[in-house]
Amino acid sequence: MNTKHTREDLLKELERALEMAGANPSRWPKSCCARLSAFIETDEAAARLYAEHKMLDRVLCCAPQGSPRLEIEKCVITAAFALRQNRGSSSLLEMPLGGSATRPRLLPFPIRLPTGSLWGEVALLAASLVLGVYIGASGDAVPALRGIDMLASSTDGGAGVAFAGSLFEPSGLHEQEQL
Amino acid sequence: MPAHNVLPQQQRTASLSAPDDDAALALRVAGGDREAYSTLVRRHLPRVLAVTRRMLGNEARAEEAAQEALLRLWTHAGSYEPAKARLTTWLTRVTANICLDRLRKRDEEAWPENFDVAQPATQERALLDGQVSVKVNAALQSLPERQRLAMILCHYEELSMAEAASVMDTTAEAIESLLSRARRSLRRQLEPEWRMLLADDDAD
Repeated sequence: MNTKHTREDLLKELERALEMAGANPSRWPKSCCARLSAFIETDEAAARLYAEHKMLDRVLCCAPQGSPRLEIEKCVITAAFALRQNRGSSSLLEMPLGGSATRPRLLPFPIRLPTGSLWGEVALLAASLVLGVYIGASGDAVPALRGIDMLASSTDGGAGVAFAGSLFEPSGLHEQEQL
Repeated sequence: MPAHNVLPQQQRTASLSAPDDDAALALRVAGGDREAYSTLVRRHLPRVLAVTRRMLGNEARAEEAAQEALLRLWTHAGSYEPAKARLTTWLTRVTANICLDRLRKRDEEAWPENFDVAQPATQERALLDGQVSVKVNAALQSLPERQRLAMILCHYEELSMAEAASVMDTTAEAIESLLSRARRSLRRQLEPEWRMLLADDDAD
């Protein structure tokens, strides 16, 4: 009775192993592999069950496999490199995986310095600053306003320089005003 | 920033001549190394393609999915952590997810079941022509997605239960269950084929 029960257990165990890993004892659980291999050797029903699964494995091996074509390999590599080029030199890894690949990035600081065409505007701003300082220091806006007239009427940079010079010569325009 | 992104240039150059293993190559791919990427594509394309073919059952769609999986390797190599899994496992997980996504989209678009391989005419012709491979493919395609994936990973790709569980983000016990149900179904569907082989074997 006990022997029969054991045989049923073994059959169940074998069936479970076969359904899980097929007729490949090397993939069966190590704990039962040796026991089940011995059981197959001695039990006809077990041997039959094992043979059936072995044939099923052979049938399953007939599933189409194909082999990777060289074109696929080239296609994958070309597509990958094109993807990286389209995204410029920045690596995708610089941004979180969920982030946008086209997120705008600020240019590094030196590139944001004004170019040559902006120097005129910079000079005008500097002149305004000097004028402001002068007015603040002298407490008298009249000579400064005359200086602005001069600057407005002039068309070349030399007048601006002359104006700037006059600001630091109080004996000039200021004296004329007093007269 | 991941540590490998700040790998000194000298170290990267030195690793070019070292024996290339998957993890090292993946780190180089994260840094934009094209040579490393080409090597990994050559090495892993057969496996990736085998999984997509068996999962999707259609050559064109399998090639598309394989391409997508390998593009992810190029764009997301930085997210691969060698300490957690082998590159094969990581890549198989990516591939499996792509296949499952595509199968779900196919379902949403209400394509005919087994659109490519299991139409009755195809099966009939397969029987007449004795093309067992078409029948096997049809049987595989008829399995529920997760059963099919478990079968492909463990039977065809010979992943261990633990690896398959990692790929499918589940437990080894769940994989066992999926495999058992898959194999029972395949055994039933392919009975004429394996019985024929068995008879031949007995006759010998």
